[in-house]
Amino acid sequence: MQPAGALQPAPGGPAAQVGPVAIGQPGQQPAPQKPRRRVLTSLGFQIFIYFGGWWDLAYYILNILVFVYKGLQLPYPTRNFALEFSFAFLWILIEVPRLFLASKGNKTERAMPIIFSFILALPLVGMYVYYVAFQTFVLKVDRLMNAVALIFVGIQFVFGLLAIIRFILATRFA
Amino acid sequence: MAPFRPEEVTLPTRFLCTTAHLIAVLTVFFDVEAFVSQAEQIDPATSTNHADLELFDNRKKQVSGICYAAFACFGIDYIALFLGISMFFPPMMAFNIICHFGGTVLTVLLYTDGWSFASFVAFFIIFNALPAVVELFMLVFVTRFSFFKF
Repeated sequence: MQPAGALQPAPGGPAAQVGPVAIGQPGQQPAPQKPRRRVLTSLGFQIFIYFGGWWDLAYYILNILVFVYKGLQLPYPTRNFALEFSFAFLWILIEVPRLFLASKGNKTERAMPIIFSFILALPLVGMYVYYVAFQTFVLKVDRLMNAVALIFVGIQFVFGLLAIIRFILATRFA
Repeated sequence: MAPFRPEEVTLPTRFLCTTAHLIAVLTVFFDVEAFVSQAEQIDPATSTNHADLELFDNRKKQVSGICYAAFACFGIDYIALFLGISMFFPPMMAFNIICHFGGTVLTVLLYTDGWSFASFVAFFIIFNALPAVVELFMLVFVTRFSFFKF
């Protein structure tokens, strides 16, 4: 049993001592500096991913409400309504992973997840264009909501492309 | 589980309220003829009174002009939101949320019940112009004079 005043050794042995390293003392080696590296994460991209996610929530709810209204008020052929209404529920299965991949790629400064998010954006853009121009009944609110969704996807694409270029250039010339 | 930080609540709330207000104003803008017709009780299709038709045309231009000004204010609001100028000032965020929520509700009522043009002007000044001006002041004070440092 150790005497009461004895110092306890640090766990992990003498090499794992914690506490301030004395620098500037004669004969002391200067503390090694960590190499500084520029943060490449795109703040603008992350901002539009964040607000795009919240817009998607509003769009999801509004789109379903608009379809309920159109189904009750307008003479839809049954097959068309079933098809278009099902898209209104299912698109979220693509959008959530798309935003997650874009955010993950941006935060970890990797290009591949952002590229995968671009691939997932293709069917979504097709859906938005369909809802703006080609669905059975297009209301002004449909045009408005899908135009805003397309604007968000477009801005995310531009920022994502810039982020990819920055990440690739950084690894190429590191 | 850690409680929410104020920004985690105020930021999406402000975005959703501003967007809802924008959609309400866009609804008025896209249907300006029906709105003016209901507000002024003038039917341009059947009316033969020149004074009424002239008033109808002037009102249409005025309502469209107010809508364009509102869109400019929304542009300022969105840019300020995305830049995060007042993101860490909960009173400012609350002020914006209240203005845009009130603007949404009252603009929807104005459109559905056919309120007067003067009401539309008042709503624009209080719920569009005022938050935009306050946001510009925040931008100036924070960047230039470093008031309200956080």
